[in-house]
Amino acid sequence: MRRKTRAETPKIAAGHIGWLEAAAVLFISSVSKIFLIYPVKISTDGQTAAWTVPMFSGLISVVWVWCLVSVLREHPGEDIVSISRTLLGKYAAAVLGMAFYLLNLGLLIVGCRECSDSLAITMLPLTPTKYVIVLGVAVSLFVALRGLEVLSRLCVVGAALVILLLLATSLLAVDMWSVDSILPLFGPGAAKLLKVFGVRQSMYGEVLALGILSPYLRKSSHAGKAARWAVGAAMVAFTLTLLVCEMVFPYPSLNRQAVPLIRVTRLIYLGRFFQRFEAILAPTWLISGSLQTAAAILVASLMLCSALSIRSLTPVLVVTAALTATAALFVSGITVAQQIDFDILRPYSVILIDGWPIGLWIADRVRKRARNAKGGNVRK
Amino acid sequence: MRIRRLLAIVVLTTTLLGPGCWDRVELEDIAWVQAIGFDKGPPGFYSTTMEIGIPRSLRGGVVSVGAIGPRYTTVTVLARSILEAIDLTAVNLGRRISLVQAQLYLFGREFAETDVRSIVGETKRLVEARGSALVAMAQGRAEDILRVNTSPLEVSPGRFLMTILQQHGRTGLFEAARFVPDFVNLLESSSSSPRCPILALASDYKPKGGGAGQGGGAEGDPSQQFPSTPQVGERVEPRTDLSKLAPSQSTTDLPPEDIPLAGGGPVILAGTAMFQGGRMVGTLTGEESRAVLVARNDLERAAFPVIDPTAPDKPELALDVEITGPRSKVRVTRTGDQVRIRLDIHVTVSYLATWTQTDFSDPRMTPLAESAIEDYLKHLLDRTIAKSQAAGSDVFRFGERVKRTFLTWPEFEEFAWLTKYPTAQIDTSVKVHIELYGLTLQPPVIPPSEKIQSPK
Repeated sequence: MRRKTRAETPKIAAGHIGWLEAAAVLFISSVSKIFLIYPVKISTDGQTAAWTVPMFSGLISVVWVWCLVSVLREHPGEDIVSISRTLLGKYAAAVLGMAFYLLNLGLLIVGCRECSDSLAITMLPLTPTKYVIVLGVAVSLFVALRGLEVLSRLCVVGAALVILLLLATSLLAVDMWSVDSILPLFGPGAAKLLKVFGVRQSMYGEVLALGILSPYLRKSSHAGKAARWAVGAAMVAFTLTLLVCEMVFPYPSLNRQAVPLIRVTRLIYLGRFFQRFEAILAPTWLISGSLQTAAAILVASLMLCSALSIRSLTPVLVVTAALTATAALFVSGITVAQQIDFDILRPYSVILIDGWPIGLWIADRVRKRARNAKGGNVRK
Repeated sequence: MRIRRLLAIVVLTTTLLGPGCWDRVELEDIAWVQAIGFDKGPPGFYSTTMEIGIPRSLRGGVVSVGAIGPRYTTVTVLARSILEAIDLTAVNLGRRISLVQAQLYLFGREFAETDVRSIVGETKRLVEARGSALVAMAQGRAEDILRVNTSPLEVSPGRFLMTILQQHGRTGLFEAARFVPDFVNLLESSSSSPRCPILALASDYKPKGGGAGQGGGAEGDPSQQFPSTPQVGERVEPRTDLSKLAPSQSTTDLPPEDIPLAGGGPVILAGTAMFQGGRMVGTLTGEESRAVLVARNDLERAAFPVIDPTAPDKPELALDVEITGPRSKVRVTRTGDQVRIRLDIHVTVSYLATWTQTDFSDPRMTPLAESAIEDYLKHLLDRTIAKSQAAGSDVFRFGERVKRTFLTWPEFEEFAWLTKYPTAQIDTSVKVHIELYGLTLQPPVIPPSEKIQSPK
C-alpha cells in the first residue's frame, strides 16, 4: 500500500478543533483546581463522604450539560450567546454573556492568587508572589494569543499528564490508604449531602465553555462527545483525588491542609534515591495551571466578544489578562482568595451554570412547540 | 508577529531566570539536618537539638570505618519556637540550615509527657519538613540520644532508624511511625490514638573519656570506634533482677534501656510510646508492641518463648515458637454508649522447638502445645489491651471499627469514642494452628537414664 504523503494526511481545518481537543480544554479547565485547596473545600462540606460529591454532582450536572449539548446541536455553527440572542433576545444574551465573562474573570483573579501563593508555600518561598502572578498571566496570555488550535492541542498533552500523574500518585500512595477513613459513609448526613451535591456541581462549571467552543468544532455534532468525555474524565479525576486525599489525610486532618495533593506526593517514599515524587508533580501542576488560565482568558474573551459583538479578539485577550493580573495583585492573600472563590463565586455560579443552558433548552422547546402550532412559521 | 516573538522571548527569559534570582540555593551553603530532637527547656522554652551531617564524611554514601572523622555534629539551642531554633542553630555554623533531609523527629520523654502538639503543629507547617520522616520518643532526653553515634553500621540516626524500622514486621518489638500518616493525623483523630517507637541508650552504654560520643564517633577515642566489640571477659550485666520476671515473661518485656546486652550500637529501639491527644501517657514493652501489631494485622513474624505445658514450673524449658502472618478480625457491637469489641486472632506456627521429651509433632499432642500458645497470646493481648485502656490510648485503632457502626460523622464525633475506650468491653480469642516444626520434628534424643538438665 502506498504510504500517504504529508500533504495528504488529514488535518484539522485551520482554526478548528476536534472533539478530543475540545474535551481536553474542558477537562483541563475543570480539573486544574485539584492541585490547589479544592479537595479540602469539598472535604469540609462532604466530611467523610466527600469522595462521593464529585460523582453525584457530576451526575446532577449531566442535566444541564445535556440541555447545553441539545441546544448546540439544534443550532449548529452558533455559540451559546448567539443562540441566546435568537431564543431570549439580544439584551438577555448580552447580560448572560457578560455574567459569564465576569464569573470567569472573578475565578481567574482568585485562581491566580491561589496558584501563586500555593507556589510560594510549597516551592518558591522567596520569589515575590507579585512576580509569579505577572509571569503566570504573561505565559498564559502568550498561549491564548496563539489561538484555540494551539491551546487545545497543548491541553491534550496537559490532560494526559494530569491523568498519568493522578494514577501514579494513587498507586504509589496505596500503602497509606485506609478505607476506614471514608467512614461513616454518609458524612454530614444524607440531607446535607444532597445539598452539597447540588451546590458543588459548580466544579464542572467550566464545561459551560463548550457553548463558546462549539462553533470551532470541526463537526458541530461532536459537541456531545466532547462534553461526555470531559465530564466523565473530570468526574473520575475528582473522585480519585478526593479518595486519595481522604484516605491519606483522614477527616478532619484533610481540612487543615493548604495543598493536599502536593502533600500526598511529598509523603510518597520510593526508596532512598527517589524520594522527591513532587518533582514530577510540580511541572504537571504548572503546565496544567498555565493552560487552565490560558483557556479561561480565551473563553472569557470569546464570550465577551460574542456578547458585545466585538470583532477583534486580541485587544480583549490583552485587557482580560491585564485585568486578571492587576486585580490578583489587590487580593490581600490566599485565604481571602479562597473565600471569594469557594464561598461566593462557585456556589452562586450554579445559578448561571444550571440556569442558562436549561433556560435555553426550555426556550427552544417552547419556540418549537409554538412553531409547530403555527405550522412551522415562526419569525426568527 | 513581531510582538508575539518579543513576548515569547521575554516570557521564556523571565520564567527561567526570575525565580532563580530569589530562590537560588547552593548545596555547598547548606547544613543538612538529619535528625531533630525536642526536649523540655526552662519555662517557656524548648530545647531543640539538631544533628547536622558533616558533608566530607557523608559523601558517596560509603564510609570507611575508623578512617574518617566525625560524621555529624549536634547543636542544642534553647528557643521559644522551631523557626527561632533554626535561626539560632545557624549562627555559629556558617551555613544555612535545611530540614529537607531530616529523617527523624525525636521527642524527649519529659517533653512528650507534657504535650507535643505545639511543636508538631509548628513543624508540620514547614515547607521543608517531610511528612515521611520518622518519629520516635527518647527514653530520657532526645539530645542525649542524638549525641551518641546511633549505629555501628549507619552514617546517621535517620538512616539507622530507617533500616531498623524495616524490620518491625519481622520482630514486632516496635512499630514504625511516619511523621504525618502515623503521628500528626492521629493527633487530630477522634477514632484512634497516636503512638511511636521508643529509642533508648543501651544498657551497656558507658560514656568514656571526655564525654565520648559527641560528634558521632570522634577520631582517637577507641571506645567510640565501631563495631564496638565487648572486651574479652566482659559479661552482660542486667540492670534489673531477671528473677523478678514472671515465668511467662522474657527480656523482651523489659523497657528498652534495661534489655541486657553487650556490644553493637549504643542505641536501642524497642517498645511503643502511647499518646492521648498530644501527651505521652504510657509505654508498651517490646513484647506488648507485638500484641498491638498482631491485633492490627501488621506483624509478619515473631518468636515467643512459651511455657511447655508438660513442664509448667520450668520456664527454662520453654517452647521456642515462631508465628507467621497472624490474622485478626475485629467485630464491634454498640448499644447506646456501650461498646463491645470482639477480637479474634488466628495464628499459624511455623517453627516449634522443644527441650522436654514431649513430641508435639505427634497429632495427639499437638493440641496441647496449641492450647499453651493460645493461652500465652491471649494473656499477652489481654494484658496489653488493659494497659492501653488504663492509659486511655486506643493504639489498637479499634475506633476505626467503631466508626463503622455510625452512619454520619457528627454522630460519631458526638459519641466521643476516645472517652469511651477505657470502659469498652473487649473480648479476645486466639486460635493457633501448628503447621511446621522446623527441619527436625521430634525433640533431641536424651537417654531415659539421663535427667534433663536446664540448658538456660
